Amino acid sequence: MRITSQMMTQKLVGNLQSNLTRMERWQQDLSTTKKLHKPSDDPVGTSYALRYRSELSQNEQFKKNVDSANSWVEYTDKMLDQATKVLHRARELAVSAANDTQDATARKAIADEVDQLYKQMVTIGNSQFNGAFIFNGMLTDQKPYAEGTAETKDTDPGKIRYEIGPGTKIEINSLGSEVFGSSTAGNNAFQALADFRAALIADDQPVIENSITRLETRINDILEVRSGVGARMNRLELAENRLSDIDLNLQTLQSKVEDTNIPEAITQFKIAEDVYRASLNTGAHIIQPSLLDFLR
Amino acid sequence: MRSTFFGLEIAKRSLFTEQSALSITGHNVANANTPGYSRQAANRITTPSLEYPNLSKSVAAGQVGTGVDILNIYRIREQFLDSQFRNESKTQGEWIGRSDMLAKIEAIINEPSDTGIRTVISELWTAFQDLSKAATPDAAIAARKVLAERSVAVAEAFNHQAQQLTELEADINESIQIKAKTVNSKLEEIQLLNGRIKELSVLGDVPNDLLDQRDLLVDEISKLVDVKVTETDRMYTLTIGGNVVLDATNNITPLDVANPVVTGGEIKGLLDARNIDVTNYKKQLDLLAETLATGETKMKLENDYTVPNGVSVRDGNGVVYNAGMVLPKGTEIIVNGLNGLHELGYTMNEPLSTGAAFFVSLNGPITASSIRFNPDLLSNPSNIASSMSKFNDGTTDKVVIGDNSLAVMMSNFGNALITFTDASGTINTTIEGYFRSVTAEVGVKSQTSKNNVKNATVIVNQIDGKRMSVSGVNHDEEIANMMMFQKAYAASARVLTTMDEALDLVINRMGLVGR
Repeated sequence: MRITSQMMTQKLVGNLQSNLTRMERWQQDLSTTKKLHKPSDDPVGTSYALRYRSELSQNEQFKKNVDSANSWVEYTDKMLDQATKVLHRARELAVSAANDTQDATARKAIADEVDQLYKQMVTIGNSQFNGAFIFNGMLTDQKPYAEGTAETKDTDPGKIRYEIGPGTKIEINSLGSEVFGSSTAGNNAFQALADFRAALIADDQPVIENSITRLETRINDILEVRSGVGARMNRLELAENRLSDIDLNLQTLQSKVEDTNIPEAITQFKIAEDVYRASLNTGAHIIQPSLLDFLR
Repeated sequence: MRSTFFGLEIAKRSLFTEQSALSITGHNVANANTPGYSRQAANRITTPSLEYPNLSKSVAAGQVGTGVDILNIYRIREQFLDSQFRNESKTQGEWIGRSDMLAKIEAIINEPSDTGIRTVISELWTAFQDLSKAATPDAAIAARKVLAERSVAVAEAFNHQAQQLTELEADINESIQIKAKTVNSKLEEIQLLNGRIKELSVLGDVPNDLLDQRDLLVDEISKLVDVKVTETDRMYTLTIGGNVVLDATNNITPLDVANPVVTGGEIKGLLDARNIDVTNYKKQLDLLAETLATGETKMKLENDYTVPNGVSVRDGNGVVYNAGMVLPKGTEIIVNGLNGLHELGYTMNEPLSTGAAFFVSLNGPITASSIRFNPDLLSNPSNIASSMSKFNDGTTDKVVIGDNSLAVMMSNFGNALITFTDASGTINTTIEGYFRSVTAEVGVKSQTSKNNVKNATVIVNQIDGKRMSVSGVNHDEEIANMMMFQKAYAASARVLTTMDEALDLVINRMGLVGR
């Protein structure tokens, strides 16, 4: 093949250009630490990268939801603990009031304390978490219980659910009717306290004795609700761990698709640089000499 | 019988010939870097020898050579390589045009990034999640305000991309016009050259440089459009896109600059980019916006649901439920996008009211350019619904603010499978899944077209290399020739001197015997 100077120059320029392009690509990968800059760099990878990003953001949201659910449930547990304490105190009072040695005056004195306990119970029933009434089902903006009518009140049966995983929802609220008993339940906490107080005032020993059992069964019922709450707390903890695992997983996957493999990129960049230098060097040698250099 | 001055004539012819050869070498060296130039060479021929048989033929020994002459000056070029070059240059141009525009679409998509459509849609789902956790009126309003801003961001992301695509389309149109005009003006130049080449050819000359110029013009046109060349009577007849644009009588039918009919070249690439790539992506974006607002899918109810007044719901089997009817928790219902979902719920307003459309259109159907977040919802966030139940406070019906089921469902709409049908086929996927597939599709197209540019460039360079190998100027060669011609010129001059001396002897010194 006949070689002409124009041909050599054009080929050299073309090759230098493609060497430079290669160098520029690795340089971009290194300076941005990303190997995905636009969809055409790796269409399938881009599709995965978008998926990982969406899933990460969703996961992040689920983590926040778990946190919120946890706070709510923990707060519920605290309130249930207080309710149990109130009932325990009432039961103690009932046991001591049921004693034959107590006279009507003593019982009246106890009645005052029971009245306080009743009021305390209503306050617990109206506990608010971040402004929301936690025991009133979905009617979180409505105060469920009022003194004097609490025993006849049934709370809203709505269950509030938070999403803590794709398609996984957890109920976060405990219903007042389950915690304190429905209006028809024999051991409705408010009713039991009110009856106990009335019996104390009336000095009615059989009713006082009966109150002991009613209070005890209510304590057991609350305990049951609490164990449910505890189970939810466990579930939330598990969910939290799982979400953290998923998060790590997704970040690893995303990094694999999107991030530059630095050692590889540096090696490739060095190779590209060497090739570029070599082509410049040989180019300088090839283009220079001609017959003219050797004519006198 | 040779004439007295015959020897001088041979030397003269030789001098002239070598001089011409030197001129040609000079021309070659001068034009070594001129685009389209093909090196030239002299066709040398020995002039007819003496003597030609006729009545007055002498008996002297024959045949005696009479020297050299140049028959013609020709350019060294292979027509076959030209047609190959133009064919490949057309393909190269086509993919260059297309891949440039696909790269621009990619820039418009702007993924993967933290600011693209994917991000704003993702943030919309999380805003619904946050709304689902707002259990008090204060928190509910705050969460609604955030949601409203996120929804505006979604609509604006769509609007912005639609706007950019429209601008890109206008750019492409302008580009096509400019390039078609370029073709037309080159046609005029070829027309002019055709005429002059014909004139000169009639006189028996070969206008090598004009031929080069004409071929260069055709090469340049071949990058922009598919051009076929036929040569009749020294004139080029050109066909573009199956239509004759320069006919045998040297008349031009110019390309339509607004809608050029071509089947190859950069203009074809631009037309395809506009008609296929931009149009498809635009339609896909429109479909995405429309589906987000009204796409039909099936979702399960989070809680028991009493159909509100003025609303009717279809369950998964298409059975219609009207106001007042109750659908139990878990029932599958058919929903029509975020708009359809939003209309199922109660707003925070009093008296009790159900949700309005979530996204609306500026005019006509909902598209990427017309989609807007309902301004009523933006100006008054309490118009946003998140609850699917009501209660009676003794006097009036009121919304159950703590009911988050609609917010959860709207967030879950992001995970719902919806059927998308576009030019690439039908897929059943989520909103973001569809956007991902659209992005990947553009990516694959862009990648393919870039590879095609690379491949076509390799081939074009190879053919161009071959052409340069044949037609290009090699300095070493020219200089070697130059020395060869120079030596021959010197030798011819010496012959002339010798003849001159011989004649001098005959004329000035002969016949002087005995003086």
